Amino acid sequence: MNRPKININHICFRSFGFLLFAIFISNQYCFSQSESKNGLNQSIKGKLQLDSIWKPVVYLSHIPSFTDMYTMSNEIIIADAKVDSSGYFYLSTESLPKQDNLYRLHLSKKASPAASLIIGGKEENHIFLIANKNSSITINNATKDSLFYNYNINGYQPNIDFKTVHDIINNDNISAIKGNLKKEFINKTIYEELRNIADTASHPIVSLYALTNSKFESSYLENQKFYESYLEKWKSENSSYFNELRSKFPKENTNSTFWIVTSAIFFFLLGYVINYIVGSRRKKANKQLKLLSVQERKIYSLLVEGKSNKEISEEFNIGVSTVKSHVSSIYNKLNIKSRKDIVSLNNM
Amino acid sequence: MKKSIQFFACLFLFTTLLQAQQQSQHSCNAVSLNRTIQFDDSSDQENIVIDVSKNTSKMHVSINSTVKSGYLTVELYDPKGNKKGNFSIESQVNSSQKKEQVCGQMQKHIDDPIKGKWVIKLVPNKVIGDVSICTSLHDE
Repeated sequence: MNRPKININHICFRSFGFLLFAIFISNQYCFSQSESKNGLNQSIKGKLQLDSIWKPVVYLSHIPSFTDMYTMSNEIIIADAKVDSSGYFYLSTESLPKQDNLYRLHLSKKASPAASLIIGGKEENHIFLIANKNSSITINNATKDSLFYNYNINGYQPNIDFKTVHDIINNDNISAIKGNLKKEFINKTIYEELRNIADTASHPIVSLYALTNSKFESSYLENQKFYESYLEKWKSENSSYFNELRSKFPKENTNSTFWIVTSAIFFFLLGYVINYIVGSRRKKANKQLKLLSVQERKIYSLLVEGKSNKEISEEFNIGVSTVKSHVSSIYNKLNIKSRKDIVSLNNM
Repeated sequence: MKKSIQFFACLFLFTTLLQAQQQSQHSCNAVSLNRTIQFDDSSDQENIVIDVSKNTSKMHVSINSTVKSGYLTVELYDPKGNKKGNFSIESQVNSSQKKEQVCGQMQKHIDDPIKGKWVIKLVPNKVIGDVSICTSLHDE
């Protein structure tokens, strides 16, 4: 019987090949794991063609609100990275917060300090980004002549939408349009377009950026329902960007009505209490006056007029000593000490 | 015959040149204004007014500012009071050991600007620094 020959060399070769393949796969897995742990995927990176006027460093600044988009100081620069000789740069996003925030990436001219901002023209030195801890963003500019006049941004999707909105807002063609009426008409169309984007955008910062630049303050009364439903839609958003917007809207009427009603109740109660106190005092005074005799009441009425003992004695044809004894009796019954007290008691 | 052709050619050239010169003189009617303002600790808000006439077809505004300390806001308003651009720069360090500078620059090019008074508002807050403003208005 012929037994099949087992080729040991062949088996060894196969096993070795399998082992090599397994090692390769595991290495690949480990590398990808460590890469993601080190945050190599989570980065802002890209290739920039730089003219010789630019310092080969990119700076990343945190923009806490839309009003700070064009604010520059050294304090808001949170990271920087060198641009290598081929134009590549790399910034890790690992130290950024988990929530999306607005950032500005800029370069400075060789003769300028790191904190320098150029707005408008072909030398505009910055772009805006939305990023978080896990974002992966790639930026490339098209030509050496202009830094960010014509650039591409890829990766984290909200940035592409943000750039679209930014391009609509900063459209250079509008300022080149001749005729102010035409300009006004186009501006109105743009504001409407921005409100549409604000209404439909799924990302809060993109939506808010569109709304903030749509001159919403001037059209608030016209489109009050839209703004109310907009605020209702994003009511769970607690970022500084939304809080800034909420502070710009007129305060809700219910709040002012509440204060009007509360203050009305307060003043009503205050009036009631004062009236009660004054009334009770008056009642007490009337009760005390009832204790006086008929003669004493007559003398009391003259005392109220401010007459002296002598004048009272002449009026009633009685002696001054009798008047004095009546007066002291009145003092005792009314529990007072002087003529002044009589006047104040009468004024109650 | 040859001389008359030369004469007419020269005449044609001369009139064309004259026309071109007149046209360029007419179209290059521009007014430029350069100003530099220095701020110290106690400087107050400053408004720079640019008077745009109805003949102005182009306006170019360039604002350059450097701040050694303090907070400076620069805003550009059209005659209707609409903000057409702004920036703010801030420098917090200005001691004998450490000094820093912050720069802000804004360029605006507007075709057919609204006639009236355009205003550049400079709002300094304890600023040590300077602002230079270059404006040029081109007539039709």
